[in-house]
Amino acid sequence: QNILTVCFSVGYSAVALNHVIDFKEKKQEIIKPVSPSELFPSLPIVQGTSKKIKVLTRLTLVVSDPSHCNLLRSTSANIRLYDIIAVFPKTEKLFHIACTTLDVDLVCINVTEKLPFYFRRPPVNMAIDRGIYFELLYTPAIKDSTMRRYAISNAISLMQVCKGKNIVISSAAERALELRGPYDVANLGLLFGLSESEAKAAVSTNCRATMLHGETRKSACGVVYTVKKPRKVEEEETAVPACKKAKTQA
Amino acid sequence: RRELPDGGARPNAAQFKQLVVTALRDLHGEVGAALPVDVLTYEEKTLSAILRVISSGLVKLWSALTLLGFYQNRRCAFRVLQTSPFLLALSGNSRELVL
Repeated sequence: QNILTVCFSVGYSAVALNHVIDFKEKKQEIIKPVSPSELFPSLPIVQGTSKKIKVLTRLTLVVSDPSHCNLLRSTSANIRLYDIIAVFPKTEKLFHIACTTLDVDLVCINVTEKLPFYFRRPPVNMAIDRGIYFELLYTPAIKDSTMRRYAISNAISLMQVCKGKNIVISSAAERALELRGPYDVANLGLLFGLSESEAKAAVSTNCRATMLHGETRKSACGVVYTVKKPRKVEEEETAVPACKKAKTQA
Repeated sequence: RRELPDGGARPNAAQFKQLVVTALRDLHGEVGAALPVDVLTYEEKTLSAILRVISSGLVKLWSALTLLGFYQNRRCAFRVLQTSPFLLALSGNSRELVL
């Protein structure tokens, strides 16, 4: 909870709480996510605008076996309670399956060790067409210098294949001191090889698109989200003046 | 302007400069450590400072400060509050301007 307070003070407008499920043990039950209203009696306001900060819930599945993917198609009601679903593939086949057919919003890219597979262009392009984003974590880069090297090398190889599109940078912070401000994170995007506009988008617009993609997935049709462009100066993380229509899931 | 929320240690001005140079050296090597950085002001009470660097070196300095994790075996975090090419701009927050 302390971490969230720090987030808000630094200037984020929406935060997602992650819950990781690892499939090495059998018979894992997907538990209900912690409702954000239990943590905060009243959500504080984003600095600079008058809207409240959103707290979302997110589930990450660590898959190392194709049978784990069946869980996504199961009718377990608890999965539907999460706003964003992310998958963490460990093999090349799973990466291909996740990009092409799985019903997820984010594909996590491992930054803590050398990738056992190289990225190929066809699945990455298909993922971009479907609206799936690739996620990079930056907290390991703060903790350890070997992990820093792996993070940067994996990020650069991803950039070479996807040309900087559909990237989201996020932190797996476990403590308040591991968090960094949004502009700092955008600067890290420059280190990873993104251009300036892409780096800023990786923190702001792409994250928002992921949220909308999650809503689309929940509602099983399309989502049209219109925002009126305000006259005064606004913060980057909040409303992007656009009419966003997500693709329908056939 | 940078703010340093620490665990409990309080560096003085010289140690702060040393910290910045160490961060640069860890991330960008000797070339990074050789980047001319000036500490214009340093307040020990609030642990905040104003640094000056050549504009081509901003990305290197900023990324090195962001990725610094430890100071004397303690966790620390640099928080960059504002960056601007003019000193005068640092005194106000342009997002909270009331027109």
